[in-house]
Parts: sequence; structure tokens; C-alpha cells
Amino acid sequence: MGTNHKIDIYTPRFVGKRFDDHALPLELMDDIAALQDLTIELAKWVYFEENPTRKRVPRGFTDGMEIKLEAVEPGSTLLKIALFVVSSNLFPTENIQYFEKASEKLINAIQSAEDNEDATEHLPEVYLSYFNRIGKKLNPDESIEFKPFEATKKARLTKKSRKRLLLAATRNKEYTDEVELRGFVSEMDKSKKTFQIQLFNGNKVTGNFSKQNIENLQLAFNEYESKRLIKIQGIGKYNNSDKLEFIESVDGTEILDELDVTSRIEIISLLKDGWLNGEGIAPQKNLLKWFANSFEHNFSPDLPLPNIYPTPDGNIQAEWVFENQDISLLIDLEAKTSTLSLLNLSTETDVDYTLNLNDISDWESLNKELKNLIAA
Amino acid sequence: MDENTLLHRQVHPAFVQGDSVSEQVFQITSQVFKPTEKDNGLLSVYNGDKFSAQDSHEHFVNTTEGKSIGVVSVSQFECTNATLKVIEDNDPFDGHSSIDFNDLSQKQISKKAKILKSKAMIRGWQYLH
Repeated sequence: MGTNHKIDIYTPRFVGKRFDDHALPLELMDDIAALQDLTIELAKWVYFEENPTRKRVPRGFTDGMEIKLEAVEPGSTLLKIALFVVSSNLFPTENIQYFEKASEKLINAIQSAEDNEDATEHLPEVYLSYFNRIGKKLNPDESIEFKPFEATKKARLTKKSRKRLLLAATRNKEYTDEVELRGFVSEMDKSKKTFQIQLFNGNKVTGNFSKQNIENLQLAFNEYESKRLIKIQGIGKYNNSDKLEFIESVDGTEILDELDVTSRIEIISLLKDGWLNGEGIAPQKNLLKWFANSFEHNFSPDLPLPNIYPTPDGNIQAEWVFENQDISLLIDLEAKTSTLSLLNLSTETDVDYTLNLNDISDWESLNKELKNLIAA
Repeated sequence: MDENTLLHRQVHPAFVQGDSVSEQVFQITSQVFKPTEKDNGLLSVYNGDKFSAQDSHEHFVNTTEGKSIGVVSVSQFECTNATLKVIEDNDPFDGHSSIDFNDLSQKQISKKAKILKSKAMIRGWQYLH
């Protein structure tokens, strides 16, 4: 009969709006699994470092040992990850120290990356590639604190520190990260199981596809000539200049409406100053992004999408035509305000409203006004 | 020029959404008919009595740095009806005309541009490059 041991080896805290409800999104579970795999490999490495004459780890080095997610506790999302050991003759308790040291080294490497120092002082390069699986779904404003109770050195894994770890891991200076692309499928190779997406700037990126996403990719490919829009989400491989080189895997695809606002905004963001025959200020990219996000969150999905055009003064205008109604929403991107102009083309009567696009109730007014006009 | 004369206006590619527009169904922005700052209130058009829509496009892309995806048109009558004066100025070239938006508020300019756009859209593309 063995003795049970439990050692808390990680208490990572997931910080970010997504974790405010103290729950861990399922898409991050693979991170935990990868953390286990990495810890086991590191424990073996520590063993060899301390026992240089040994050629292999002792038999049963990992038998009876399990790393488990024990609890999700309040405090953003705080995970308790413990090493459970049923000790037996095959797993002497002295082996536990290698796992503890492994977790320490891992946390130190993350801290180094956060401090922009050399992570390979704590871990050999080969193990850093595990970060391809850890933290890949983190958003730019999110982090995983591996030492959440420390006042300053919290060993934060962020998009930035993760990139440093990965770039330290490879000689060819590549790293993986989440990718979301919109464009047209210009090529499919069923024998290689690869496809090519043509982006709005004309660049083409190749990626792998699987059975799960063949249907939408094929539809978009068949309708390439009529510019069928598709959105692809997955994991991309980037070089150290942040250029996307390849799509390693596709997690999801979506055939988009031909008036998809985010796509249109992406196209408008390619404009340069002087775009209108020498006149025309290019709208600011960050403001365009703000508008696309606000629109996606606040515009009623029951309503028809507008056409969107740039204006010469660096703003944009959304336009709808319902029967004899010409409707435009002229958006002042900097001020985040807009003018909604309704013109009845039969009677030539018109009315204007000012809407604050930072105010959800004004978006609701826009939705209501458009609904009434469609119903009329 | 008489009231049936068509006035051809070049359409910048950024003012058409998508480039797979058919000749029947297309959507352009009312900004096509809105003078910009350098126009000083005078919207440049080609006199349809002197230029076909296609000729106007060729003239525009060959003599200016401008971009045009095609040509839409309104009649002189439609302009007059919208209380917009058409000036047959033949400057800077023979066949150049202007639709006068001077002395109008921005709101009035936008409204009249929308009216002209709707007339042009009913007529359809006069030339698509």
C-alpha cells in the first residue's frame, strides 16, 4: 500500500476580463496539459543534470505520479495545480524534488522572459518550444501570473513574454500565435491538405487544413471569382519580424456576408494619404479597429449590413438604401460621434440625428430607427 | 447642351464596395457626387454631347493621375430639378462642365449628392472599366 503525497507545484492566476467570472475557458485546457508534459520532461532533465553519470532515469520515474488541476479559486481565475504521488517502490519520494525543481526553473524562465533576460539560463532551448502550446490563446490584454502572490516579480506569461520564450527556443527564429484572417481562398491542394488564403493587401498565406474545415474552404475556393469572403481562425507561424509565414492549423472557418464590416474596414485601412486622386486623408487604423469592434458588438444582427466608404477627410460613412429611403451614418472617428441622415427620396424630406457611438443607448437608437424604416 | 444631356462622372474605386458589381445591381456612395475641398464647390463632369461615357473614362485616366473604375451619369434636367446649376465651362478642356454646389450648407450638399446618386443608380453604369 503506497503513501499519498500532494505538492502544490503551480498556482497560476489568469488575469484579464475573460477570467473575471473565475472560470477557465475550455480552450485553455490544453495549456494545462502542456504544462504537465513540460514539467515531466524538465524533471527528467534536472535528474540528469544532478546525476551526470546516469544514462537513463530510474525505472518508474513518473509512475504513480499525476499532475492535476485541483481547483479553480476566486481571484481572477486562480488555478491550483498539484502533483499527486502514490509512492511505492517504483516511485521513491526523493524523486518528488526533481518535479519541484522543474517547476521552479520553469517559473524562473518565464520571469526572465518578462524581464527581457535570457530564459535559456534557466531552461535549455529545446524545452522552450513547449510554449507553442502554453499561452497561445492569450489575448493581448491577458496574462498568466505564475507567482501571483509576489508583490513585483509575478512571472507573467503574456503574448510578449511568450514570444520571447519561443524566439529564444529556436535557431530559425519562429514562433506560433493565434491568427484570425479574412480574405479569399485562392488555392487548395487536396493531396497535400493545404490551402492558400489571399488577403486584402494581395499577400497570400498557405496553411494546413483538416477534414473538419474542408467544407467552408472548398466553398470559398469554388467561389473565388465572385470574391467569396471567408474568416479563418487558427494557429499561425510567425518569423521574428512578426510576419505570418504559415497557418499551422485551422480551428474554425466562417463564410462571411459580402458586406462583412470588419473585412470592409480592413480594406479601408489599406488606404494611404492622397488616396482620392491626390486628395484624401487615410483614416487612422486604430480608430477603424475601434469602429469595427463597436459595430460588431452593438449593431443588431437582425438588420441588413451597410456599405461602408471612406470620406476624404479621414473618416468613414455607412450607407443603406431601403426602398425610397437613403440612409447614411457619417462617422467622426476621432470624436466617436456620428450623424445619421435619413432622406426620403420620394418626398425629398430629410432629418438628421447626432449619435454618440461610445454610448450603447445611441447604438440602440440607431438599431431602432433602422428597424422602423425597414418595417415602414 | 440641353436638359437631356448626360453629365458623366468618374467613380473612384474606393467609392464602390466590392468589385464584382454587375451592370444592373451596383452600389456607389453619394460622395461620388460631392465636391471635395479642391473643387471649390464645382463638381467636375464630362459633357455627354462631347464625350461618350467610355471616352470620358479614357480621357480621365490618360490625362490625369486619377483613378476611375467606371462612369455614372445624371442629366442636366436632374441637376436643374435639384436646384443645381450646370456650367458648361469647357475649362480645363473642351467638354468639361461643372455642377455648382456653391452657397450651399454641408447638409444641403449631402442631400443633393444623395439625390443625384439615386438618379445615377437608376440609370446604371454608363461605362464599367
